[in-house]
Amino acid sequence: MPSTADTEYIIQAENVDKIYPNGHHALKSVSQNIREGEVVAVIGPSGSGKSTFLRTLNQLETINGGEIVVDGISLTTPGDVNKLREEVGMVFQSFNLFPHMTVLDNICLAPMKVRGLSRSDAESRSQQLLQRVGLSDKAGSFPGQLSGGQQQRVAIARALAMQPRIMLFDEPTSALDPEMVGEVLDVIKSLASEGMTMVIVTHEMGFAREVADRVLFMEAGELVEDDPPEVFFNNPESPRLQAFLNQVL
Amino acid sequence: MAGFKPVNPPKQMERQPNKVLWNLVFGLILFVVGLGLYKSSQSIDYSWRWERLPEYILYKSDNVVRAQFDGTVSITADNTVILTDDFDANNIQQVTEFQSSLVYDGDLVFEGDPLTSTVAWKAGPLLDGLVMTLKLSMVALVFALLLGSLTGLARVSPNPALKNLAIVYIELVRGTPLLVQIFIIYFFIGTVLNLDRFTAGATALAVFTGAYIAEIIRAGIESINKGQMEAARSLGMDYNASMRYIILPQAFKRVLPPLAGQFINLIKDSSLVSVIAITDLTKAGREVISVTFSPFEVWFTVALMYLVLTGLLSFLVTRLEKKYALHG
Repeated sequence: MPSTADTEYIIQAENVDKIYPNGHHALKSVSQNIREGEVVAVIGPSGSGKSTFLRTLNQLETINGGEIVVDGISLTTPGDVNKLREEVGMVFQSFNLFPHMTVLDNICLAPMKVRGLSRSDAESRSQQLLQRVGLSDKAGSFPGQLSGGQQQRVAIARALAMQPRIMLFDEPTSALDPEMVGEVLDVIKSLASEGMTMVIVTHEMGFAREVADRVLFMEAGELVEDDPPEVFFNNPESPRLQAFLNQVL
Repeated sequence: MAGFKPVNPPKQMERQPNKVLWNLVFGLILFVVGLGLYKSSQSIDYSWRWERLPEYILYKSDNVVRAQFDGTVSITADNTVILTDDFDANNIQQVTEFQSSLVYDGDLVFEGDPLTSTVAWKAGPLLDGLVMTLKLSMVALVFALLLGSLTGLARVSPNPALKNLAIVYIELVRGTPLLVQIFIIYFFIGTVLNLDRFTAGATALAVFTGAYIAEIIRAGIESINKGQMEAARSLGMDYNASMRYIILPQAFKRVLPPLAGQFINLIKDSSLVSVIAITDLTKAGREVISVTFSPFEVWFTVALMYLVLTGLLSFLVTRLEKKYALHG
């Protein structure tokens, strides 16, 4: 892993604007550069545009202005969006596992259909990933038979099976019972320690403080603050962030 | 179910209906309706002749083989009746596989005399009609399912050409009566393409039902949580693969009950093809009435036969639903 100082930015977003068809201005000129191996947490009140920003990074949301370049691929130039998504894994708030498939098939499907792996290769990769998220014994289960925390860990394994260079997490613990938050955060922490580039939208302040290299604060579609965690939580500059932190901490 | 034990009724505040009482009430209502039907059938000037009907469903036919020329009969050890022309020994009529022989060894018979008889069950016109209805419905069902699935997919496609074609097809078909469509397909398209009755009838039914199936499929696809498509796309799968592996398998389970309803409608709608002289169950019923002059009995019987078909289909689909209901 090269040192952060001389690494190219793996994600470059410049003056990104997003206006929904109903006129809602969700992102107002958001700019952000992220280096390879960096872990960036995004925090903000609901409706602030943080999830929208995350979803523009693998073009689940299109943008109306500005430019995004991810891993050298320009998201505003016509091309194969699937090539981008192969490199960018995503984990959703509501897991979105495929309920009609076993856990193993959930993980195997994309590597087989997109990367062209054989079933046996895909299965051995899936077994390794399940072991890594601590669910080797659940390979044959269906998502409906798992707890929320287990489902979210499977969802992480499913995203990792594509061997992405970047992982996006959209409030990965918001839909979980409190006792299951820890097991999911532990998996994300271990990813961080291995140098995976990650953007994490979260409401878990303690987690953001512990795992993130930088913390962003968004409000009303604007990127208000961008600091290392110590500064972000101890000496926030913007009064809006101060007010927000006072409410949630 | 193994290990299932009956439990005490749940304790609750709300009053629940008395099961025994209301089941009795249900039985009573059925009885009163049945009695009313019976009484009214007695009071009208109509002689019921139910005993005439069975032979129009199944009957015993006596298949008699007759002598083709004058001659002498000989019966061999392996039970074959051989008739030999008295003036030309090479002229031989042989009968094997019969139930009873009506002649004896050495008998002299003349042309037209009965030699043997075989009694067998044969399908009457009503059963033939039922088979035709079943055949017509099954052929139409297969094509309707194909057409409906493709149209349903086109209906949700981002491609305007496919989407608009699907909308036009669905609106045209749903906006016109099936009877009119049958006439148009048989008399116009059938004349242009030289279609026979069965093909025209099956086509009309398939086209009609396909439009409804398309809407069912569309509703099924749209009922699947948006997150499923997003998850599939976020893994790098393209639209078609996401549809095929993620959305459609889930949608299929969800649309089984409305599909079953549509299939049952198809069987019932098939009665309309009798207007282009396909002898389906309904037309067979009309023909039997013209012979027996017993319209009430025949229509009740025809209704019952339709009920058997649709009931069977319902049962099959319920089993399919249970099989797929396990997950998700």
